[in-house]
This record gives sequence, C-alpha cells and structure tokens, in this order.
Amino acid sequence: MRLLLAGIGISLLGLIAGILFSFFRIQSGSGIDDVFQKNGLWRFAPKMDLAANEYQRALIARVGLFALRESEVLYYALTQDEEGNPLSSDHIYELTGESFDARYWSFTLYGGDDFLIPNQENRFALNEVNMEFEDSLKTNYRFHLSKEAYGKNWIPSGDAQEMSLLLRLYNPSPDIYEHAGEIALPQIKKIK
Amino acid sequence: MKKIGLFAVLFLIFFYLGSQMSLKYFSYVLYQVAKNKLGDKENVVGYGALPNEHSRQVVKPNPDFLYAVCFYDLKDGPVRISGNLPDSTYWSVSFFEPSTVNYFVKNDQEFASSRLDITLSTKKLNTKAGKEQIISPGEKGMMLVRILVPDPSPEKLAVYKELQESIKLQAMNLGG
Repeated sequence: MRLLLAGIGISLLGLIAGILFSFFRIQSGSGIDDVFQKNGLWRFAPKMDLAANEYQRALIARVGLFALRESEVLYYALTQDEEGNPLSSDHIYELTGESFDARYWSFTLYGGDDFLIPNQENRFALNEVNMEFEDSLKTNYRFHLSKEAYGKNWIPSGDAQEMSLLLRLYNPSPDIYEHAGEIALPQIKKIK
Repeated sequence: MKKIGLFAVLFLIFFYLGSQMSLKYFSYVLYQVAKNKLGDKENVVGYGALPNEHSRQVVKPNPDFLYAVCFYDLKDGPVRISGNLPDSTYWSVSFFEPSTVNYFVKNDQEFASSRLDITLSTKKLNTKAGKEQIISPGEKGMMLVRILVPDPSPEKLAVYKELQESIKLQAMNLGG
C-alpha cells in the first residue's frame, strides 16, 4: 500500500514538474532559436508551422496570439539594441532603413507585456503612410524610439522596459520571401 | 535499489507527459482567455475601435487596423457571414482553430469583390448560398477580419467603422 501511494506521489510530482518545465520554457522563450531565424538582430518565423510544432504554437500564442500565416504577413521582431541589451525607455534609439517591397508595412512598439505603450501622443506605430522619408522616392527613413519627442519620426516609449519593435510586412514580394533571412532591415543604434 | 529505479522511471514518464500536455494545451488556454476577455459570446460579431494602450484583450494589437471578431459554434449548423468591406485598402478574413492554428486566410485582392459572402460549415454544403464556402476543421473556432485604416482622420475612420459594423454572422436556414 505504501509503495502504491509513493508511486502515485512520484507520478504526480513528475507530472507537475513536467508542466512547470514546459511553462517555464514558453515563458522564458528558451528554445526560441529553434523556431525563429535571425536576420541581424531581428527574429522572424520563415514558416508558421503551428499545427505540427507545438512549441512554436505555444510561443506564438504567448507573444502574438492570432498571428497570420507567413503566406499573408511576415513578422520581424527586434528586442535588443546593437550591444545585445534589452530595449528600454531609459534610452533613445535611432533606426535607419529602407522601405520594403510589400503591400503594406509598419513598425509597432510594444512594452514588456506585449501591449501598446501608454503615451500622451497616442502614437504607437510608424508605417509607410505616416513615416516622413529622407528622400523624394520614399526609400530611406530614420526614426527614433524615445520617451520624449525626438526627430520628425518617433515612437514614444513611455516608461516601458523590455520593449519589442515589430515590423509587419503584409503581402511581401516573392523576393522578400526568398531572401527573408538577408533582406535589409533597419539598423538600430543607441544614441543616448 | 529496485524501488528507486522504478520511482525514477515513473517520475520521468510523468514528467514527459506533463511537459507534452503543457505544450499541447497552452495555446488552447490562451485562446479561451482571449475569448473570455472579448465577452465570451459565440456567433456574435464584436467590433473593436482602433487599438490603443487600453486594448488589452489580445497581445500585440496592430494600431493601424480595425478588427471584427467572432467566436463561432457550428453545433446548430452552418452560418453565413456577410458584410461590405472597403475597396481601396487592405483587408483580410482569417479563421482560427481553438488551438490558435490559422487554418484559413484570404485578403481583399484574393476575394472577387468587397462584398463579403461566406458560408462556414463543418462539411461541404450542397447549396448556392454564399460566394465562398469555408470548411471549419471543428465546430468551434474564431473569425478575425482585419481592416487597414491608412488614414485615421475622424471622417475616414467613420467610413471604415460603418463598413466594419456591416459584418454579420447569421445562422443558415438550409430548408427541408
């Protein structure tokens, strides 16, 4: 009887430990490199294999619930500066890049809780429509992530820590799909 | 010594089961949490405003989009989804399983017109109703319509809002 009870206890302990282990893996994002690829400092999922890959499904449910398939949108996420530090509203970041061959593209800044960051400007994103370009061909742009107004293109970072910047490319060109890991993405630089 | 070995094997087996179960059902739990936050209604379309910092039902909302959301249940039969959508901006209609797998997505350029007319069922229907027939892998799931608002000025936004709120889901009467 004692042996049986001990066996049940051990099994239960194993079950709980297993649940906690996976939960920690999903929450911490350990194993993120198994499901996302890198393009410079940006991470993206070249294939949203959510039906077959349970870890990817769990991770994407946590950070991007109801994300669309890669055939419709490519998502690129930036969570670190050029020194590998988490993005923080304690700093000002400058990003420079080129526009994308996609039907529509935008950059949205999220707080560590993956929601939009409260700010007085009520501004959360920059996109191909409201971005002020550096040239008449609307190719080059420069924008900032900053607590206070900075430059002509800026996204307020409020008081957020561990922020993430999400680039969405809706209906990107075949060339982008083919070179998703090498296309030119904005370079980030901490300037203050 | 044998007992320790037996306990170790038991622990490892259940550890594996626990970790697999957790991975498998994590997304189902978040789906249900989102459903609860969005009012826990079925077969009723919800219309969101342009997302801002108060939009905390689903992570990573896109502030450039109006969303129309509907959690559906097809236990009483197929449903018909209709509405008028913009003809000059990106929009898409997507369907998700309770596991959060996106099993269907189609955008404005892939639909024949901006007049939405979809039948949603669990099996192929022998009916002429609906320009587009979508087969849901299960009785339950979620529909999400995204409408890009390139110009959020009050006048333009009002137009997009009206189109967003034209999206309806109704039970289908297949007759006899």
